[in-house]
Amino acid sequence: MKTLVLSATAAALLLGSVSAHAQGVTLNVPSWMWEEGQVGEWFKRNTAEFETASGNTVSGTQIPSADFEKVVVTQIAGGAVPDLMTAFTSMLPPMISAGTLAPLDQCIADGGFGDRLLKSVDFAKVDGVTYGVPLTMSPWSVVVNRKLLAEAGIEEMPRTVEELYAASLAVKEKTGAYGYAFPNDMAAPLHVYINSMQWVLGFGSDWSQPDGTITANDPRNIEAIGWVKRFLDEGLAPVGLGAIQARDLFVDGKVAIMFEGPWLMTQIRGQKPEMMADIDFEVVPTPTHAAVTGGAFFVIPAKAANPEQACELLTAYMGEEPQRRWLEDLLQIPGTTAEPSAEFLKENAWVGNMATIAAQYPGGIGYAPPGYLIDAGEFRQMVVDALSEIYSGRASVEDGLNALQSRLENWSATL
Amino acid sequence: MNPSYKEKIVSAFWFIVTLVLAAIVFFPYYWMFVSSVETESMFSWPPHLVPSGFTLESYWTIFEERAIGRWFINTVIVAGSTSLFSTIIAINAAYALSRFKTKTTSVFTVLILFSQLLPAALIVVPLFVIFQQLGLYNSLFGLAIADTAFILPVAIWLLKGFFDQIPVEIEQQAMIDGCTQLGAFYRVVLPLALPGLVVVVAMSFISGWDEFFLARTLIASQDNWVLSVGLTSFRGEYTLDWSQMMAAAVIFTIPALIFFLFVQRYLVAGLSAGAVKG
Repeated sequence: MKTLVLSATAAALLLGSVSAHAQGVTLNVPSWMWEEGQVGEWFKRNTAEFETASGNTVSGTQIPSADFEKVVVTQIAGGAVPDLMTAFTSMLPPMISAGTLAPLDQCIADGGFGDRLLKSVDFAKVDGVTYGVPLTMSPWSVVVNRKLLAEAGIEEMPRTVEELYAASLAVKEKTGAYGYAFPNDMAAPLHVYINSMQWVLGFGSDWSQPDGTITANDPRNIEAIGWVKRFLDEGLAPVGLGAIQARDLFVDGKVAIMFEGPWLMTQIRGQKPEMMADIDFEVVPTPTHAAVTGGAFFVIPAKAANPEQACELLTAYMGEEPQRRWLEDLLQIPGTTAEPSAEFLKENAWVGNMATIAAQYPGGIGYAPPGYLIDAGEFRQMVVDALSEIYSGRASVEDGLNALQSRLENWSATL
Repeated sequence: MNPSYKEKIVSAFWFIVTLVLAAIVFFPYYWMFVSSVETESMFSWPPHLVPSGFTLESYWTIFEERAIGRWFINTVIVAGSTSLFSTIIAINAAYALSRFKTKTTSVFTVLILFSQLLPAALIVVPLFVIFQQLGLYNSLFGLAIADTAFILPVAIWLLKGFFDQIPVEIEQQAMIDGCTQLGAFYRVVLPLALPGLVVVVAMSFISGWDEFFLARTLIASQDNWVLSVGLTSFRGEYTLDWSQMMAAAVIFTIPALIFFLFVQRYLVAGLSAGAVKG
């Protein structure tokens, strides 16, 4: 009798679980992208298609980008673990190191999209195990307003720093607009750091080396930051702008050149489509032309409640059609190779430039200093603190970077 | 110089200084409003101190495209509940600490304030775990409790100061006239501590109104967002809709401003009464 009751109970539980599976599960998917204009529409459209096909539902939680890392890390630490989430490149190394992410190799193999993934997937690999799938990867190069340059009498895009300086001077004198703008609002350190990366990499150096050696006061860095300061000191670039304000200024037609990514193209097409004809994507006018690659990844936390269904959703997002839409609708490079239509390429010739630049002048992925992936936040803050001293004139470029060198070396010794 | 003439010049001088200071304080609010109704780009030189055109489109848009009405109601619920909870608890705790002195009272009074020394960032993970296990995660009621916990120590200390000022003899007199101790507390002490109560109500309401950190952490779904969290959603990774954000900021500010206008008379009286205690 006891055996019978147990068998009946087990059968009931089994039936219950089958029934629950048939009804589908609700996947918790936080991201900063759910409400971000066309990007949000891409997510909603592809999620709706997944829900219809799978019977599962997706609870997409919008967390503003500025707070995303703090909030989602708190949630994971507190036990409210998402099923699938987006992650900034800077989030990956510490999360992998802390063991909070699930290996995705099996998911990638089951989903059949491994052979289409961008090479950037290597950034999410540790000891041969893949912990993230590229969501989008695009190079930071130069977005240029050719019309504004032409108004200043410049027909050719500057290819050297000296030419950039001359162009900025001409644009300022002849149009009153700015030739070059970049984020230098010290309250938003990440973008100040990214800009500095573009310059020091552009001069063939970096803030550190992969073995952890600090190279803050490398002569090439001193020269690079000296140029940045010159633009500020001579009023050729606006002072105190954050990244968003600088982009808005560009879209407003008041800036000719920015070291930016294709997301600025998305913004222009959304806000001022008539301007697109005058906009181009070009090579960074620094000696090495290095283009840093920025982007985001999809990850599945190790303690996700529904990893199988999360993998199904990930596979849906990485499908060929959604990936092509990402490229054509958002004007950004998706996580996999995608075949754009001939019509799209004809209308957006600059996309070809972008792909060429990314291939010819790779400047690394993400915004972490080499050798300091886990402690990147602290490192970046120290660099930006030093740049604040330099840009404001409280320290010369050489003194400021020498002080930074000492500070970083002392800090590095404590790790 | 005629003394009265000199006094007039001095008072006119101070009036102008006050006016300038008020203009400096008020300008960000004015600019916020101008940016929300301006039709031209905000990047113009000279800046448009007076709007070059007037439109309420941003206001219509945020009500159409965002759940701003819902967030507004949520904020009222959270701020109102925080104010209610903290006032009720603070009244009783402060009265007890003021009147029932034991060997441990002073230690306990200081310990209450010690909780203020811990930054929210330090306790947010344990708080998150507790709230999740209690089923208070993603709940407006839970957020009000968390907000109350943070404002309560200050509220208790503030009210204790007011109760300390009220002579015990007044209560004793009321009890001789037939009041119970509770009756004396509610009928005599509380009315005398009214300015302090208003301060606590106002302070806890504003605290619940504009609190961000806990709301950001303890609330997940957009339906339960409060305005302080909703405001941040106007800033994307790459873009920010300035006019819509400013319109939302105006909506966020007005109720708090009106509330302050109503209670400011009591607030000043209450704060200054607390200041001369001794």
